[in-house]
Amino acid sequence: MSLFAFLRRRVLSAVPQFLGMTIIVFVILRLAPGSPVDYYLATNPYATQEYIAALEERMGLRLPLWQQYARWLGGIVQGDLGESLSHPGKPVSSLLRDKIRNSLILSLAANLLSVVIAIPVGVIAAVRRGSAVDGLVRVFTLFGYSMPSFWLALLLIQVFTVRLHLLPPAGFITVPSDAAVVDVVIDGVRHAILPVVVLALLGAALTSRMVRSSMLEVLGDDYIRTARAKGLQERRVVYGHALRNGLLPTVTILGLQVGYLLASAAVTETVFAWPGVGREVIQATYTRDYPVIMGITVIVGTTLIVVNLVTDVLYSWLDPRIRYQ
Amino acid sequence: MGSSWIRNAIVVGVAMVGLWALAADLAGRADAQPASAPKLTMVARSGSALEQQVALAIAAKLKEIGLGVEVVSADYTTMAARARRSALSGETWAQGGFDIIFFNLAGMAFEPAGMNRYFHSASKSAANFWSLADPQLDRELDAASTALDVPKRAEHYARAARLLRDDMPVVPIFHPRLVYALRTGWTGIKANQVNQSKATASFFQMKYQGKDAKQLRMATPEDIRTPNALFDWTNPGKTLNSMVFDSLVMLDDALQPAMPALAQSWSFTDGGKTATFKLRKGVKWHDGKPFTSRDVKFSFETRMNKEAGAELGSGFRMVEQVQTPDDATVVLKMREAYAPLLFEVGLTEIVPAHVFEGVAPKELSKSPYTSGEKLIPGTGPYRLVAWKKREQIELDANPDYFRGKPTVGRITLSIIPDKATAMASIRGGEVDVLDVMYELTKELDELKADPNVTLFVYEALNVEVMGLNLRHPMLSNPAVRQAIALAVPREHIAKDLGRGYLTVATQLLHPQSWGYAKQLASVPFDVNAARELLKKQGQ
Repeated sequence: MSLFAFLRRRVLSAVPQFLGMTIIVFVILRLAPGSPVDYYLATNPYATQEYIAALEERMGLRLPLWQQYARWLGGIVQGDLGESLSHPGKPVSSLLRDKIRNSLILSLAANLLSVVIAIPVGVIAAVRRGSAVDGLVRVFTLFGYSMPSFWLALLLIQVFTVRLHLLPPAGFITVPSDAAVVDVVIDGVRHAILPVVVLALLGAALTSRMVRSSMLEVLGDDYIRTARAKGLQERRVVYGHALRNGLLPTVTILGLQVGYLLASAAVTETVFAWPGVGREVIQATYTRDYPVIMGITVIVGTTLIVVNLVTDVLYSWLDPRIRYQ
Repeated sequence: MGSSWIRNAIVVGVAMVGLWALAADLAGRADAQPASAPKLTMVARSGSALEQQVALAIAAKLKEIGLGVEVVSADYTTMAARARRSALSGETWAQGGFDIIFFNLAGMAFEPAGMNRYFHSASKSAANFWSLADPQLDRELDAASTALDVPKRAEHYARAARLLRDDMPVVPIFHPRLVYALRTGWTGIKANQVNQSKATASFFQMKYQGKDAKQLRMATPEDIRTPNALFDWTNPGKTLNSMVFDSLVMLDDALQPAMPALAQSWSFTDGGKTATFKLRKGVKWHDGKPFTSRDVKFSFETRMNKEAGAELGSGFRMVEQVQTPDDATVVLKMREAYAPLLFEVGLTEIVPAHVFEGVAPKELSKSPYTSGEKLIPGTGPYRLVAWKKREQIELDANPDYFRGKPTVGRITLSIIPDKATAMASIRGGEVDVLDVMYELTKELDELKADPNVTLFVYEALNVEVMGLNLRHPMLSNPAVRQAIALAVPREHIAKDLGRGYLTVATQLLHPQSWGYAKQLASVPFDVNAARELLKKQGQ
């Protein structure tokens, strides 16, 4: 099968995936009791029944559920994600634009850092299997992925903000909007350090374990023995021959992690007040801001589908034995 | 062959034993069901540790007097939706409404007329969540809103307070205090008197180490809904509105709406049915355009217009017409005399009419000045410079402010949702002022111990109550409601759970309010009396 046919089939199969995903999220959302009107007006003593009804009418919440979905889908097809219900007049697309950028910055930086940590750590642990270094790595990974991210986050904040006064604990770019570019960059980097480190450490724990186990598998293969037998340097055996094959499962995980981090960094984003998608989705859930939650679902879902596709293509490049089947 | 048979037998046997154990456990649980199964469900907000602790403390006492109560937690929106269902049709918890619910009644903090909305029978299906209908109470509340002198009104409210104590649709528990944490060195913070409705603070006269400051960095957990004051009723919104906008009158230090703001003077004629406001001259919007009576008319009429959907809705329902005989005069014609008019007027920030030129009332909520795509000008001490949603709000001092130049040049408001992070921010010196809206209890001890942090504490004047659904078969009995009120350990709640930052509430109005009934005896904490009362009812 050619690359083009492969891509076409994958894209076509993404359509029902997309529809199924949006329908499930839409229905689950409506199963939760309460509406945006309740969130904002229930304790406002001025809100009479008549007034609440008028507001629900304006928000389109009085239509049958399927009509609400059809309306929303109609908007999506035309590239319109609708308007936020908790911020009057605010289009969801303009609301999410910055948040997506911020989440991507966080997610990509964290992924990059986690790879930089995980690959050497995993390789060394595999090469020196059973040694003290390997034991240390195993402790690190166990610690890394059994530790709740908010706990690690608060710990770092205690140390670097409260004790050492070195790094800010909250926000992203906090300098005034008329500040010089240099100041904006410095401010952004300073704010990014703690959240990136938290996410990267957690990611690195998982990835380095993956790298270690797949490297162990590969190092036992015949062609590695052949490479060693023809007198290659151990460094070239490990990094030139074994690593390329050993990275295959890791690439899959990494691909998934970009999307995963985008959506699941919610806790870390909330603790660090990072203005990203994860925090947005939590707030939107509290306020039952349906269009915002649906907008995020579409974007994160689509990202995952695309990332999966890219991962598959990357796979065949790393391992020519795999063809588009 | 033989071994696989044995293996299958073992698997089936283990499964059978497991199923049997499960069934026995379920049956055992059914047997162990206590004789007095929970009859009442009490709902506390999942986000509020304090409310949960209060609920558990009260439930324990109610169990002591023989009432089965189950405490459940629900998020704010769920709770609000249930309250609304009960208000509409009297549904109980089992039917989708509530039995017992916790509420903060903020709408009558500064003006007892707020009682009408929570307890008048005309407000059933709105904020009278408990479905109270008492003709005698209605008469007192109506008389209190139309009588024009304060002592007369206070008498009506005292009688209303007595009726509410005897009928007990809601049990007052405590008056919260508001806490701002400041970096040591900052002074001059005051309780906000601009828009009255919610207790926020005023920052525009703050100083650092006795001097004017270039910048003040504030943190708050929640973002505003919109910078357009007419469409934001939330606490963060009110905080911002009080900095960017003004109303015609402000609260004075005695908490009466009697301090001139955008209006310089006012008078009532025609038996209180006509109110004339003379506006302050020379006030300019942040964009340089002059402030006139047109802006006042626009703001009031938007509030009165149901199509506009401005948050406050019915606040001006007594007003029939807004007239503007000239640029500096506004006349309100009312259907009947309405005592809390100045309060309602003080509650409404004036927004600029010129930026909404030609926009139909229905479209106002979609205007770029509402969505924040364009920055709305105000008349207040601070000018809105940037709104990065859920991130930061930037405000610059308005040097021409009519109450004087602000002492702080720039204010940034950062949105920090997590309490622990916010605490670290102030202790680490990353912010100067921490806003009230985090629920601080045990954290206060930590802040108090920090020499770099000082606390500014003041009475919020609102009241936290336990609302009872009067259409619940058990709670419809007034004696049961009295028994419940007798069993609420208010002292324990205020002192131990609230760490001394709560004031015991014996009636709905705060002791500092002019409507507070000084002569009224409060319901004591008396478990034995409660138990006796219930016994007599055969519960």
